[in-house]
Amino acid sequence: MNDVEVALRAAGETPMRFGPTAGPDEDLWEGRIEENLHLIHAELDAPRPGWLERVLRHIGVPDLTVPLVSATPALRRSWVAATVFALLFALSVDSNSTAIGPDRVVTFLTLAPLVPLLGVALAFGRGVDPTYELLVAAPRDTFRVFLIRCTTVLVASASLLLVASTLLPEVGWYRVAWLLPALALTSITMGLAARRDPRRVAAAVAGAWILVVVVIVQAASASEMFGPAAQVVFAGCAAIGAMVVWRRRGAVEDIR
Amino acid sequence: MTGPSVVVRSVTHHYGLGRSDDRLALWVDDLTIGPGTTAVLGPNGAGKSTFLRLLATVSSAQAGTIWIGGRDVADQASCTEIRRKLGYAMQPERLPERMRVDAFCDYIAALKEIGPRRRRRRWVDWILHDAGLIDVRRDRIGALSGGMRRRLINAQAFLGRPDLVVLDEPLVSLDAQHRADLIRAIAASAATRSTIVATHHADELASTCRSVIVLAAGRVVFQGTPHELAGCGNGRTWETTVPIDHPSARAVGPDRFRIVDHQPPQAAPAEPSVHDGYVAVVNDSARLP
Repeated sequence: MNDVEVALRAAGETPMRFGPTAGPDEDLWEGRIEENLHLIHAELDAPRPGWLERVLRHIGVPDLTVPLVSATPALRRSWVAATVFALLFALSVDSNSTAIGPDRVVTFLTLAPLVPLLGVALAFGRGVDPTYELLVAAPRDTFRVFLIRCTTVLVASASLLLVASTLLPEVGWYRVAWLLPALALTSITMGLAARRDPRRVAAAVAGAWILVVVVIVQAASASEMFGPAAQVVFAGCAAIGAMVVWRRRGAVEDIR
Repeated sequence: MTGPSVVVRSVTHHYGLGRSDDRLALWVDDLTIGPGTTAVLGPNGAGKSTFLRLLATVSSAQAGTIWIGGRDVADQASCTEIRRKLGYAMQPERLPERMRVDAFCDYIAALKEIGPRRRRRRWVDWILHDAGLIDVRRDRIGALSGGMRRRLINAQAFLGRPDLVVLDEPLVSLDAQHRADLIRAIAASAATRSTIVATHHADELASTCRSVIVLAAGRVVFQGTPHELAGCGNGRTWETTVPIDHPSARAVGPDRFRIVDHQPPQAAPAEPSVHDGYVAVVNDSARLP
């Protein structure tokens, strides 16, 4: 007697071949076929990940982080288009020469740091993120999401700016003199935005930046504003901003 | 019943920046919401959404304490644990219009720490299937109708099988079939989870709940069973065939009008429904100093 017969006898049933109840349960069978077909269709119909998701997975971005990166508002086409338009506008300005080159270089170096700044302002917060309430009500570490969003904006903006800077005339390392100011302005904004509306903070920081550039360029020169000594100051500001962000992480985690 | 209980003690919440002229949005002195389904009723501006945001840990109370399942929501570590078992559906005025339906659900699932991707996709398929949105999963949210948007927001609240579901006006914009489906789903899950739902559908939804809370002007003016709430309309609910100009008058059939107040002329007493009891409670609260 095999195991099946033992089990059936134990259950009080006698095995009977080709008896009146033999054969598969047609309803159950149909149900299983339907269920399996549904699963097969679901696999076949499964949406193919977009190019961004595929790239992110390919470079090893953690599985739970990929949807958060691809949902960053600053990666929308409208944002990228507006950024490209602003940069082209900056590059089109051309008249007098300055200490580090034509006017458009100074215009570019002034406007370029504002691109990631505005991106960060629009990446996170009650007024700008339609999923904000769902994000806050979720268990995912809010500070982590905040950092993921801001890093995404920084990387995307810096890539655009690097491409745009190739259109500048031959100005040596000044081509990337926007990088440290961008980091400084962005980190200051992130630090201050922990408890305040990011849009207001960004507007205030952007206004202060433009004011400082205008005053220093008028009073001294563009090379004073973007030269090596100034870059050291920008690096210091970026470091201070990063420290403020870290110290205020509790406020971001508890944001409600 | 296995869902978590909610205990609210001396909670106040103001609109504004904390100045003396700020409007008091909510003042809940002492409230315990047991497991099962609870409906929160109240007129517009009564503080229902404010109350639900506090329970969903989206806002923090300016004073007082809220415990969910024995955990204090003000404590960050406890709050994260609460959120692991929480589903929340707000009113869908603002959604990421350019996002695809499935990408949106995938994003919410990632926020709820559902991984890996394959498991997340099964969850997304499951909730979209249940919400009747599987055929539009590749559409952008901006292309959805009002009812579909509402179903999407309701559906995402059930991702990850939460123990506590907080739904803000989940029946708005839904057709009769989808309303019935959702009410049935909420009632069927009463044994295994707590569901707190703000609604204006007193007879349709609140009557199926285990308990009902009525808010008026930011205060809890009633807590009890739907039967007890209906009882508040006893002796004050009247029906007449004569159109009557009264704030509580509503049409309940062709040439049939129902009033919850003193007996008007040519009116006969009627068996109060949950809605009638709710109207009576709100009317009473309006007369309070």
